[in-house]
Amino acid sequence: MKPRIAVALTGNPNAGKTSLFNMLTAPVAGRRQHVGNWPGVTVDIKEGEYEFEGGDFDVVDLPGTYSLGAYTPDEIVARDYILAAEADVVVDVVDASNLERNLYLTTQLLEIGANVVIALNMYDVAEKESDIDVGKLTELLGVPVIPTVGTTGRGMAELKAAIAAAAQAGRTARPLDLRYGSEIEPHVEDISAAISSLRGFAPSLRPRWLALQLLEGDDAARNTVREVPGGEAVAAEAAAISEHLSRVIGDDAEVAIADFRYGFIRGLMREAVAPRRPSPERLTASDKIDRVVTNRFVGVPLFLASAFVLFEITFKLAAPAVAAFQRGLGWLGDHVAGWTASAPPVVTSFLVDAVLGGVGNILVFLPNIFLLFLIIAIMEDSGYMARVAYVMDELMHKLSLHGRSFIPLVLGFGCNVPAIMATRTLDTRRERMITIMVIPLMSCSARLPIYVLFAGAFFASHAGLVVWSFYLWGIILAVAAAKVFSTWVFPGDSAHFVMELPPYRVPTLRGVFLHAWDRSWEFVKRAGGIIFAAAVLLWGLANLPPGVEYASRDSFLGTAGSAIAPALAPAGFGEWKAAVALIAGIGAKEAVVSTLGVLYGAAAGGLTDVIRATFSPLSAYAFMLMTLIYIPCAATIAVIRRETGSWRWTLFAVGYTLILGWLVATLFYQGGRLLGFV
Amino acid sequence: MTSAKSLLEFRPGQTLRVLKIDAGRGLKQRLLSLGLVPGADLYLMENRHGPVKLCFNNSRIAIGRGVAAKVYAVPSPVEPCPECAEAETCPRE
Repeated sequence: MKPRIAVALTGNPNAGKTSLFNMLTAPVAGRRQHVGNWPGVTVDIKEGEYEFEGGDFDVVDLPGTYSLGAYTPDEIVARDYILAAEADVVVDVVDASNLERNLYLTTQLLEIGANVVIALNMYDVAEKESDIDVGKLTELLGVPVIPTVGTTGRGMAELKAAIAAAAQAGRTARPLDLRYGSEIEPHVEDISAAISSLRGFAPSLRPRWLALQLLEGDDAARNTVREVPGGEAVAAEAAAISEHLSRVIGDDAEVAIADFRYGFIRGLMREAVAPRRPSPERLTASDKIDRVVTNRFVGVPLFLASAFVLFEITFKLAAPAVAAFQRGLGWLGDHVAGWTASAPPVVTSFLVDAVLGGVGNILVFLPNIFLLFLIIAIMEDSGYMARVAYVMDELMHKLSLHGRSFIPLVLGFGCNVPAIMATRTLDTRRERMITIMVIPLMSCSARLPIYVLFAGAFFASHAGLVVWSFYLWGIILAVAAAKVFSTWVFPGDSAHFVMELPPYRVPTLRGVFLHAWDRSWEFVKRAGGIIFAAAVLLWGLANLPPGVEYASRDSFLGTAGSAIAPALAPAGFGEWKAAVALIAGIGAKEAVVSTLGVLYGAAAGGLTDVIRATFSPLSAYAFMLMTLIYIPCAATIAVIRRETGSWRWTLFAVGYTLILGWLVATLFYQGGRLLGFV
Repeated sequence: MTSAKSLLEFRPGQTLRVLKIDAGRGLKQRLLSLGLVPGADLYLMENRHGPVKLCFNNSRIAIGRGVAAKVYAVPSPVEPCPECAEAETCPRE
């Protein structure tokens, strides 16, 4: 059997890498695509495979990057993967309609000596605008250049053939040795020679590349060199030369080096690309849309309107699916109860309440999450998401956040879980951590039934206003928390906002569905087990020790509730049943209502009367504040753990929300009493 | 170099030539890899509030005001070609 061939896809963001990936790996039966784990950060790395002429090819879709001088966590992952030479062939996906910028990464890939095949993507668009001499480009770059169209599949066979041929030829391709002029070049050669005399580097690292990176002041390269014996002196010398060069040239060495690369690229363009016939249609269409979408006065309201529509669509469309799942589970529950009629009731209860209940908790999330991800995928793939970040940046900046933090925060109103997963697009760890930490304050849809129940019971004439007030509380607290976290917990400068606004494109149906499906499936994998485990655990606590009535005062759950109840008394709801409902709510927030129903032995309708007898309007409002703020649900906790990669920060999120919830509820209740409310 | 001003100080609708980027390494690398190198011509599309919107190399790039303050430029001798000025497309060679 022939060895499997590893292929890495790299390229600028918006070069159509993912659609090319989907096309390359699609036709294989049993298509495999999963997300890899990488140290420190969770970054989406899709993997897939395909067969070509009897050979097996494994493809990884690396995060988009503009250069090998990495900037964001995503880019660092891509850079490290390429430099580690784990791939037999690197496919550089280049936007043919934007060659000059895209070829910058290409130049660097050739300089490190990667085994490169260039996919000249979006060739259909480029063809209309200019004449690209593909043969000439191949000749000048010294690597295969294949015109492709990722959205239609054009050029796939040729690309696969070129990849196979490149894999066969191996890493023999001559690396590109750009000359950096009389000022810089001699130093590159000197440092390169000094590095060559050192031992201990990975064989795939070229001394010349390291020398260039040292002159450019790259931290990762400096660390690599310093780690080998004798490297410290070489790194120090390179730093001194870099300093010297910047005086001689009058600008940093990295600027001069970038300039030479662009000089090379411009030379290529002159020879291989006929002068562009400007095609204003595509760009001006985008500009015309932008004039409206990013207008100061129209942009924000337009986005808020589209966010509102997003939620309406999501929850309206998802509702029938959720109801169908619930009916199905109910039906299944009845049958299970029938089949186990002769078994002890605890067995039936376990299967119906714990197992089916746990599965139900996951399934009720799914339709919402899939639709949310679907709409986000449409917004991302069309290019609108970049405009939202652009429009919101000014406002978010005042809140010590980043334009891109806005989307995750808004998603939090739907469900905190996908919201936290959506923070991956944020540039820096700092921005990402602050955003993750405040997302639980966004009142998700699972908390709505609690407000509806209590607001209906106590504030019937203003129920809508009362429910709305909790969204406002959430936003105010999130803004305050973001301010506190950015000042004291994660001090530092806010991330620089640099973002491309790609031309608008019509997203492909296939592309957005694959995107949404991948993310939903990831949600099930990441959070599903924990939601399920939490349901089973709570069931156990409610039914043990053996013989107790479900969730009664004598059960472990009831005992725990009785134990915490005194601590909740200052907030106005120091009753064990309320405490038990709050504990159950950690499994899933909507469980607060159902647990209260069980404990007060009342169906939803009758629950209102019982609650009226137990709570006062003041304590009811305090209780709602508590359910808004206290401890995120199990699925959210699990996702925070996954995305931050840290138990410490997960505990921090749990701890601060609990303390904040208690404080706000207590202050509200006590303050209300002082003012004479009851 | 004397007349170089940060991008924030220019009005939108002007073609500018980048002279210097006075930023830390990470940010500078990002701008360089996008093609914002000294000597490059760019067209200033938006500069009133919020991020500054630039057009160069056939693409639209938005940079925060803090970033724009670190990019120094002078008016470029390259006029945008008429249809570009009309369509707000980038200056070309």
